[in-house]
Amino acid sequence: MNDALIISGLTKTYKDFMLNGVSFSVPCGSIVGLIGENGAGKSTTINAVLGLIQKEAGSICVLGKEQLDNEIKEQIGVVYDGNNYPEIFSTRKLNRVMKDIYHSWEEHTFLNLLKKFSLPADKPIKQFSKGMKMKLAIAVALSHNSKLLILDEATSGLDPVIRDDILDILLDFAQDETHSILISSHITTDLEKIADYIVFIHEGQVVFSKPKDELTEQYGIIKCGAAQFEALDKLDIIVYRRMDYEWQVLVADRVAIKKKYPKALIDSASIDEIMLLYVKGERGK
Amino acid sequence: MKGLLLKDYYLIKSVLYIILVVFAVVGIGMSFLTSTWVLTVIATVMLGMISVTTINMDRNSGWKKVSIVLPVSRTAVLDCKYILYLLLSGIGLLLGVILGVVASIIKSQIDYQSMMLFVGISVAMALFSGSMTIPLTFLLSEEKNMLALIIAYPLSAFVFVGAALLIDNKLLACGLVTIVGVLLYAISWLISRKQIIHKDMT
Repeated sequence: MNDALIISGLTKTYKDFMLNGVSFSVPCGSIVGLIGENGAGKSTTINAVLGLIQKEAGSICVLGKEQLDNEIKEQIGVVYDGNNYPEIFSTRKLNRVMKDIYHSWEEHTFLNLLKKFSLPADKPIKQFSKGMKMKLAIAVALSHNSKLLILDEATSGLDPVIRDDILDILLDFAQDETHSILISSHITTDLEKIADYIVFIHEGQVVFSKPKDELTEQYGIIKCGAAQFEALDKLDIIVYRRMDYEWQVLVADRVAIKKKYPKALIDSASIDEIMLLYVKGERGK
Repeated sequence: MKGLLLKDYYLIKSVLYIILVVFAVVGIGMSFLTSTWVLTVIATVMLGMISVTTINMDRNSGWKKVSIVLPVSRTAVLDCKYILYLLLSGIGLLLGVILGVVASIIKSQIDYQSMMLFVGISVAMALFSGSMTIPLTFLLSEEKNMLALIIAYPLSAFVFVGAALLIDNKLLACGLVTIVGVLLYAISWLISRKQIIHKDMT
């Protein structure tokens, strides 16, 4: 099995939104970041993968199986944004419940993680901060021999210190080659730190699915005036955006473009900038 | 299933004190105003309702989404609520009967026919309302299921009163409504199991 998750032609229609033929994969041992603006289809994709919603077309293969049975569910750790567990529970009670639900529940791993994350055993979850709740959800996800972690906006609304802690935990998990992570986030800087691949969803469709290094090390943005923009070979342009005083042009290979247009000012592109250009810019020809 | 029931047990434990206080105040007051056996109806319905309350607690706490990705089937999550409802209603009925007997002894008014009648009413009310409230609370949005909760109990009472008016023998009417209640509960359970498999649960 090369891929922990393969999504092919996933389609789901709502009254005012359509997830249209989404396809991408999560290779084993990698971290895949799912990016896109709010309402782009990230959560819908994840919900379909987790079987919360019924797909209309396409196929989803999780850990080598198209059927999301209990055996596969044992191996998936899920962390949602917001509440995950009843707030009156303490971590001790949650441990007892999970012990009776997961056959592969590892109590000592859970208790060690609670200690590592400085989470109290007897306090009700309602007294936890948002960061503590997220760490608890991750502790649960890591305590039943998960092979695939799926996190939906798990770092949103958290301060940079907690986010960094969580990213460290995820990186640590992904050290094992049999472990994989799919993480959706609109905080692209987080994904720049940890992701191996970036999948960009816009208006229910996958715009691109590429190795992160290709995006950050090869992509570039030409910042130029109108005359210079007109002089550009349109085939070199992926997307462009007209700003107040300049044109911003996204190109796939900034080194090659620099050679082709020696006078052009070309910056490296962050994932944030790439996403913005795709969402707000216009496609090249 | 055991883990899901344990989770509900913890949830119920957290609200049980409030329920018991409400039951004591309403039940004792009502038993002095009407029959002492009215306690059985109140206890059965009130305890059964807690099971329905846990469905909304699951939704608000995020557990509903979590439960779908746990290694248990969707039908097991639903079955847990139906089983819990029967368990709690049964405990309520038992508690109500015990309290009714004690109250009757204190008031020196032991009437076994009334007891049987009220036990029948309790079972019928619980099963009728449960067969509506569990699936509607589980499958509908919170706004819609509130409406279901408001309608279910008066509707159950209406069915019972209707049967009592149509059939002179109250015990017979009660028995028939109870049988219909059992059937309705079973049908509700079976239909909900089919529905939940294809329902989007976000």
